[in-house]
Amino acid sequence: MHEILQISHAVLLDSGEDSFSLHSDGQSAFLCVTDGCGGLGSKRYSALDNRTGAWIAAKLAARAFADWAQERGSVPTDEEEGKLLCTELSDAVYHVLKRFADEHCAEEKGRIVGSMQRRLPTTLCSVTIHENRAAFWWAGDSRGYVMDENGLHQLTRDHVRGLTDAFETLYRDAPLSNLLNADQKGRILLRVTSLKFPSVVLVATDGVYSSLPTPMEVEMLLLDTLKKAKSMREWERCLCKRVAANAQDDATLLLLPVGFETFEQLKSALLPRREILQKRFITPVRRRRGDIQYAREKWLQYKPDYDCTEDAHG
Amino acid sequence: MQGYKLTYHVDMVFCIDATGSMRHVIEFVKQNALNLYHDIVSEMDKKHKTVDRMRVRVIAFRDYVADGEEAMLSSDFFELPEQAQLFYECVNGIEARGGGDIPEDGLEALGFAIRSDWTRAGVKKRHIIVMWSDAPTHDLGYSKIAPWYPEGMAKDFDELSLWWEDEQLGGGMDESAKRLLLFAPDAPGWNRVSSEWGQVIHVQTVSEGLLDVEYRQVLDAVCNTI
Repeated sequence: MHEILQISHAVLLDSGEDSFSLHSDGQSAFLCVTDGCGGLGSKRYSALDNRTGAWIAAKLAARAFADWAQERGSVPTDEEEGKLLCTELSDAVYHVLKRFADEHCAEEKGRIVGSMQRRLPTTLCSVTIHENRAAFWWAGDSRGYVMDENGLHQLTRDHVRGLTDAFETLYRDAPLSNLLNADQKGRILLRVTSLKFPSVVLVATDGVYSSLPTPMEVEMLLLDTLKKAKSMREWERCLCKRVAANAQDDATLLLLPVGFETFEQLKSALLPRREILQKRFITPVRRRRGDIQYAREKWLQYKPDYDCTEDAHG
Repeated sequence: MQGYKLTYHVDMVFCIDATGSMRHVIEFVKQNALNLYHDIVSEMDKKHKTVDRMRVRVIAFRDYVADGEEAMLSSDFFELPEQAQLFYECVNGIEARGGGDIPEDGLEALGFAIRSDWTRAGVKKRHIIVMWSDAPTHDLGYSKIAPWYPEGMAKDFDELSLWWEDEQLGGGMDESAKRLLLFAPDAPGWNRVSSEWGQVIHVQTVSEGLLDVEYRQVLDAVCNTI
């Protein structure tokens, strides 16, 4: 396994409500991003340095996933095992959030109540990788992707109310339909896939993709920066700059390139796709900037290869 | 793709209880109303959410049985900042008087607010209702006997809930964009709204100022995605 690339940007310095955890060794790896829900978790706790529930939740959930993954994290071999592990992981994260909330947040009930207030709400998207198989575990609208010579593929379906189409959700602030929190156990879903080598496995919070006008631009962002870079670290630096320049929200992206010997080999496998992408899906849409209907038409042509979100279980 | 920015169209409807019991807090509430829209724009701006268009509408409500034609006074939407002066004059013109018994017709005010002519334009939106009241509400329809009671009002709480919850069933508020911010006591009517409706933030006081940390909590809940 190669090194993991980390891109993390906070809109308000030191108040970023995203978090992550990661691990990689010779045989296996895991990546996890979390995004504390700033609307639902806006309550600040004086006992915790006036941090918001969202800020705390993201950190706790990322750590809870790491603890679970180090002990139990694998790629399930069948559906039965997958369901079992999903329940186990959902329980593990819920108990961490609940225990923390009961210990530290119970005293401060406050005068602000209502359905828009939850204790320690967060999304989570993680992936465990072993050899050529990857298992995505997620709740909420943080996403898991794989990028290979055929382009970028979204593996996790957003848990939002209404349409889950990756283009349409960019133009609505759709409320989450599933999230992790300390009041009620959320559902973590699972999607297992085989990886083509070489490829890049990614997890991202919504700040990475929601500030771009189309899902095609996410792939372009990855390939553009890959083209400019001469090493993995340089690719990471380029991505950091570009994500920060675009971000209208906290944004966290973790990438693990797999199945190649040298950086040049990775580039020569993935970059031929960039030209096709630019010609078919990027330049035409950019030329008609603001024409959402046209962008939607192009998206519908791009979508069949991109959308690999079916068949989740958990 | 640098320079690409999603912009927001924000509509707010301010519902202000203008009955006699509000006399001691009405100036405070009016000031809150005037400050709130500035604070929301500024908070969204801090989070790189650019407000492209802002409109505010004002509803002053009392009690149909006790106050007749003065029970529900509403403005059209004011475009801000262009019509800021008219908006200030409208809010400043509200006087606390009347009201009759203790509960007021706050749910009817909410019905009017939900059925506002909300913006459909803009890439992203916020449809925000802010309610200030120091009293519980009458049951919806309690004041039907009054001649000024509006036709077409939701017939009971369940129907009003449908107006709130479902864009297709009479409401017209965008599912993703809507927020209800209640500054009202933990009292009949409001506590049901607070516990049964989605996307509600209930600040259980109207007469006391919020601590800075509480006010930030409210602004974050309104401005952030959920």
